[in-house]
Amino acid sequence: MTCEDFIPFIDTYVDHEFDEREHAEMDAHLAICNQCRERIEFEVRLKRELKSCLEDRAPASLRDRIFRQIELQAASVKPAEQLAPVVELQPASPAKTETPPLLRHARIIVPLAAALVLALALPSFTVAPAKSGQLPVVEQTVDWHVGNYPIEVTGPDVARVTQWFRNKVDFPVRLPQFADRQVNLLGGRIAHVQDRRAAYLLYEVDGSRMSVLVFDGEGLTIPSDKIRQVEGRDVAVLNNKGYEVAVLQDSGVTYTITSELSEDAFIDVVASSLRR
Amino acid sequence: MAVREDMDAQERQELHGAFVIEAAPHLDALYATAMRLTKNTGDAEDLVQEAMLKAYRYFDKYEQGTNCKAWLFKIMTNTFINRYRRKQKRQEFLVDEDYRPLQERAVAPEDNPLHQFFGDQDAMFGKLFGDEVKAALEEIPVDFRMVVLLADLQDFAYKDIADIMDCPIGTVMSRLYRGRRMLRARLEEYAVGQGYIERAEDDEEEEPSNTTSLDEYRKQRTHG
Repeated sequence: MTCEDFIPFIDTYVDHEFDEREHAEMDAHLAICNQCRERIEFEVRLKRELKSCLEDRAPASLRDRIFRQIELQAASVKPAEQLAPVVELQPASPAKTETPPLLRHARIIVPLAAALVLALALPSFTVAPAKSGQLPVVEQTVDWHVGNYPIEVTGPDVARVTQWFRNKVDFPVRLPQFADRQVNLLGGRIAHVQDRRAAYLLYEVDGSRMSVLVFDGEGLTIPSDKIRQVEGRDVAVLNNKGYEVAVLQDSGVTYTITSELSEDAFIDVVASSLRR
Repeated sequence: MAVREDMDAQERQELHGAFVIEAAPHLDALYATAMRLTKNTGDAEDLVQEAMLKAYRYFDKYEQGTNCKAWLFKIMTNTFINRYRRKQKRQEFLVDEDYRPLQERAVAPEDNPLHQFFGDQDAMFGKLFGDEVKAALEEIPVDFRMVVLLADLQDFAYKDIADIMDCPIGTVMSRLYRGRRMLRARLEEYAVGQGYIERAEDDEEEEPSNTTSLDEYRKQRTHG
C-alpha cells in the first residue's frame, strides 16, 4: 500500500469503520510510513479533542422536568388502574397533586403512631408498614446488575474511581469499604435510579459479580418487615427476581447492593462494610 | 411496550423501568448534541424534552436490547428537522454539491495548514480548542454539522448515522468529509487571525501585495 492508497481512507480509519483485515492492511502501511502515521495521530487527536470540547451535561432542571412529564403521562393513561397503593397515601394536597406515581410510592406516609415508634426503633430509614410491594429501586438495582453494562471508569484504585464521580453526581460518593473479604473493585459508571443519577460500582467477590448503586435516597421508604440488624445497623434485605438486595443508608446517601452470592455469604460481605 | 390503556399496572411499571434504564443514560448525549444543533440553551432543552417524551410514548417501537442511543437520536433528529428547520432560512441547508469521488477530493489534504502544528500539537490544541470550536461548528450548515456531531461527538458508526438521518452511507461519508473540512477551514481562519499559524502559501486567492483589506494586510505583515 502506498500513501496515495492510504490518504483517501484516513477518515474511515479514524472512525474505526474498517474490518479487521482492512485495518491490518492500513496498520502495515502505518508501520513503515512516518508521514501517514503522524497524520493519523493528528486526526485521532483532533477527533478526541473535538469530542471533549463539545461534551455537555443536561441541566438537572431539564432532567427533572422530563421525568415529571413522563410520570404524568404514565399516570394519565388510566387513573383507575394505577397500581393500588401498597400503603396509605397522604391525602393529596393541592401542591402535591403533580407528584409522580413512583415518587408517590416512595413518599408513603406512615400512620402517625406507628411512625413515632418506628422512628425511635429504626432511626436510619423512613419506614413504611410491613408488607409493602416491590420497591422500584430494588428492581432497578437488579436490572443494573443483570444488565452488566460497560463500566466507564476502571478500578481497583478507590481514590481514582471516587474522583471520577466528582461533578458527575450531586452527592458525595464514598465507596463502601469491604473489610474482611477478597472484594475487588472492578470499576464504576453513571446509572439511574428512578429519575435520579446514581453512581454504579461493580465488584468482584470470590469470582462472582457484586453491584452497588449509590444515590440520594431522599423520600425513599422501606417496608419495616424487611429491616434487620446487621452489625448494629439497619439494613433492609429484599428479594427481586431471585436476587437479594440490601438497602442501607449512611450520611443521607443510600446504597443498594446485590450480587450472585448466596444469601449468607452476601450478608457477610455487607456486614464487613459496616464494621469500622 | 408502550403505555397503553389495555396494559395492566404491572406492564406499565415494567415499561417505565425499561425506559428509565435504557433511555435515561443518554440524556446528556442528546443535550450536548441539541446544544450545537439549536445553538441556544432554551431551544436545546425544548428539543431534548420533546424527543424524550416522544420516545417514551413510542417505546413499543423500540426493540429492546438494540441500539437505544441511535433510536433516541433518530427521534431527536426528526423532531429537530420538523420543528426547527422549518423555521430557518432556506440558505441554511446547503446541498452537498461536491460530487467528486472521495479519492479525488482527498488529493490535497496535505496542504492543511493546521498541520504546521505537527511538531507542537499540544500548543495547537491548547490554543484552539475552547469556545472557538463551538462557534466554528455552529457556522457549518446544519446537514454537515449534524453528521460531524453524530460521528465525532457521539461516535456513531456510519451505518447508524445513515439510519438516523435516513440517507445512504455514501452521503454520510461525503457530508462527514465536507463537514470536517469546513470545520477545519474555520479553525484555520481563526488560528491565522490569532497569529498562531501562517496562511497557507498555496492559497492562490491571497495576493499579499495587492490585498484590499488593510487588516488582512497588517496581519500578513505581522505574522507573514
